[in-house]
Amino acid sequence: MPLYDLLTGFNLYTWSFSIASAVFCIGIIYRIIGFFRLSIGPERTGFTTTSRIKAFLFGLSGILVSPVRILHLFKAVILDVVLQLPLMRQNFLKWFMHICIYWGFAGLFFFHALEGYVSEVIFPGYQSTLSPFMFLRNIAGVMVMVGVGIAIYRRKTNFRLKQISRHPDYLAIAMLGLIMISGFGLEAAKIISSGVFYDMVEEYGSLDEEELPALKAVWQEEFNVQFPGEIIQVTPELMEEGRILNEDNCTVCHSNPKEAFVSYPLSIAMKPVAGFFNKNRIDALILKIHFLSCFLALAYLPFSKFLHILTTPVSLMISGLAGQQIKRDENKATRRVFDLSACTQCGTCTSHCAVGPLYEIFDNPWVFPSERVTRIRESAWGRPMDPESRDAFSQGSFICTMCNKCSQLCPAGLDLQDIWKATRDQLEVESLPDPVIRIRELLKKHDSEKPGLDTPLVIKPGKNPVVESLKKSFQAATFSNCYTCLTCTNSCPVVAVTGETREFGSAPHQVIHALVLGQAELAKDASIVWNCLTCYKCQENCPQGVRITDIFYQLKNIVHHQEFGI
Amino acid sequence: MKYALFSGCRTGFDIPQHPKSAKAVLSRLNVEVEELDFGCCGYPVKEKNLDAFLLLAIRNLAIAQAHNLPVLTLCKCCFGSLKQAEYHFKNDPDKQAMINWLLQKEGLYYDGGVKIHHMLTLLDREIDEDLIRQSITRPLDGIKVAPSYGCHALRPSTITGFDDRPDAPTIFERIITLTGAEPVNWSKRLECCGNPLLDKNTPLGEGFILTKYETAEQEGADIICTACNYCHMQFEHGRELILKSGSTTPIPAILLTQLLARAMGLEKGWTGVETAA
Repeated sequence: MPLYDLLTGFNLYTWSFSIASAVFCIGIIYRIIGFFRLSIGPERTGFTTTSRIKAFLFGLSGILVSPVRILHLFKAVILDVVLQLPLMRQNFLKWFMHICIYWGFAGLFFFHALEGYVSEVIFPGYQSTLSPFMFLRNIAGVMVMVGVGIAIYRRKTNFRLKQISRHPDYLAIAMLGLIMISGFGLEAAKIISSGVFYDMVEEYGSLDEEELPALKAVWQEEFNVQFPGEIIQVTPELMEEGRILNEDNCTVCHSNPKEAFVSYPLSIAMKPVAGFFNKNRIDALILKIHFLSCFLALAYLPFSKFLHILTTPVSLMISGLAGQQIKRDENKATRRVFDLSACTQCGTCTSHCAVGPLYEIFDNPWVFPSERVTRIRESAWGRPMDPESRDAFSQGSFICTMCNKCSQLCPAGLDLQDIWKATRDQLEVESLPDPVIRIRELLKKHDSEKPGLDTPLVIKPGKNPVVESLKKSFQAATFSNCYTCLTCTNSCPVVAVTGETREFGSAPHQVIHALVLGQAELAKDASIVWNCLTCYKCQENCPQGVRITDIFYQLKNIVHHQEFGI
Repeated sequence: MKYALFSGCRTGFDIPQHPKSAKAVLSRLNVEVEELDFGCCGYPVKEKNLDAFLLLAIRNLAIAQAHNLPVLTLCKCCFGSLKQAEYHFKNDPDKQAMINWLLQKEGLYYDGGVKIHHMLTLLDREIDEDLIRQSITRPLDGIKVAPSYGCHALRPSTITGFDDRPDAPTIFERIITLTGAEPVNWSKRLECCGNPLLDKNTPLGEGFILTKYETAEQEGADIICTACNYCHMQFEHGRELILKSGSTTPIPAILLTQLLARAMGLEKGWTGVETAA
């Protein structure tokens, strides 16, 4: 069959395979160089590409000389890479989906696509048309299809997964689906094909011209080959003769096509169009679609989430060996870049993220860890962010509480914690730290523009919208109960330490009093609001039930909203 | 009785010894815990956005409600957050409707009534004192412990209901006494640790933790005990500062659950302390 495949689409096959392989190889080399050259986080001196390659080789040799580590590695390969047990513990359906695609696809890749190098070597007398190979190929195909089906179902029904699924995710699923559907279609088209039947008789059979009708009768009646325009007079004697011929000529290398338990029913469904198919050799066309879709996926692999097929096993091994405790900083830097390429956008991190639900409030996709991973990877590989997105990215990054849940749950074994730490460091270098810290910087600027203490305060008449909004909040509205007894200021530990109450805004009672006077601007800028420990001593002691600390929180919220729109 | 253990975000990477020791202690006391897929308590986003705070906090209570379990927190900031959010939720019908509308997107709903405990309130109110006494196999006789109370569980007392006398609480001392150790009457036991100002007004925040270390030692403590993730991290930060300045070696600051685990013979040292020293 491989030879036959080669013959039918000789030029296209060789050409497309050569191009796809070249793109694949160049892509992989580009990636490997990138793993050692690119960096996530602030640039550090001394981390040249060579020093990182050296550190990697040093670490690798450290593993290879230690029997204990080899044992750990072996354990990681079996339990995490092959059996994917961590995924099974998390979510059975997800595990089942991935195992179906993973094992099914691996089976097809090694025993079908590479049959000349694997199946023919391992199994003496291997023929792609023989069972159990034909049967197993259908099993593997069904596994992938089931996996693909569950993948689509999950991405369409899980509300969080739906939010983060992008075109590349669906494209990968679609490519896989196309390969499988064209594979089954090809097998079915070949089953009904009279052309394939004649080719094979010529190549493998040794029978006379007058014996042919008998064989045709058997293959038509029992194995669904369609001979358009021909009417074969089927008699019991002819069938008997045909069965003997089949036994002598065909069965050594060709099992009953019914063993292809998916493609055979499919070929029966193709019966109505068999005439058109066989006259135009549609089987040859489907063959082209099949191998072209495979080669397209091959070429696309280094540039898509398919890359995880190669990278994720390695990241799982690293995680099995070192966990989150890589010693050398150079290797940490390399791992960060590498890990990003091992992400499959499966959405586990985002589904379990401690602050993920805040997407609903902040409408900021960078709250989601999986979205950040994708964007950090794109930035690292040469697609920088525009300033506005960078700002939003920073806000999302600093909502993360560094709880480490994503790293602990990641089915690909990524050390995300280290990536978050490095990106945060980088954002701080870029003067994009946590919004709360940025607000403090802004207030410092305001401070220098303020009139001095000697300038008398001019109270603006009229209603202040901020104060009016505070009056509507059941907690904040309590400010109007204040009679300036100063109990809050006297119990404030910050005032006690700084000893400062002369400058306006350094004591809590001044803030509350400013609100009573309708001076929201003064209250928002007050240093005590931003130096508040939130110890709630003032609120606890207030004889009038003014919720001072909660009012401070709301003032901070208002400034955050003014500066960042949320 | 079974509880949903709410360890808090900070235990995932920075202080894994907290849930680890807590689980060991609870298991010794025959308290069953389950670890649900909780999120953040809301405390870290409270100064950014009140709605965000409420959503995160109430979402956890909704998860606990779905499992019909009371919540057991290890951290005082988590405890205070959940308590405050529940109070706000109950008293603000508009927010109640908004939060539940957001929660129903992931199939959750909250209508109040989930009990919120902190490790200390659990030990003090829910577990038989004799059972705790009996499980202390290696009493910490002669060790003087300075309890650092932690603000967000204590205040606002009408909402948190942490101890009967918020101005002069004794709940921490009561539990320390059970271990055989002697609580120190520490002048700064109710003071803030300064962690909320870390990275925001670092020198001001660090002043508080240094004062706490200084006074605890002066007033005769052998160790400081905390029952809060943020306090604990601040004490670790303060410890590094003191060690870096090279003046003295500060007394250890440990978690309540580590103190108990030690007294119950479950832990040999104070995990993470000896190595730091």
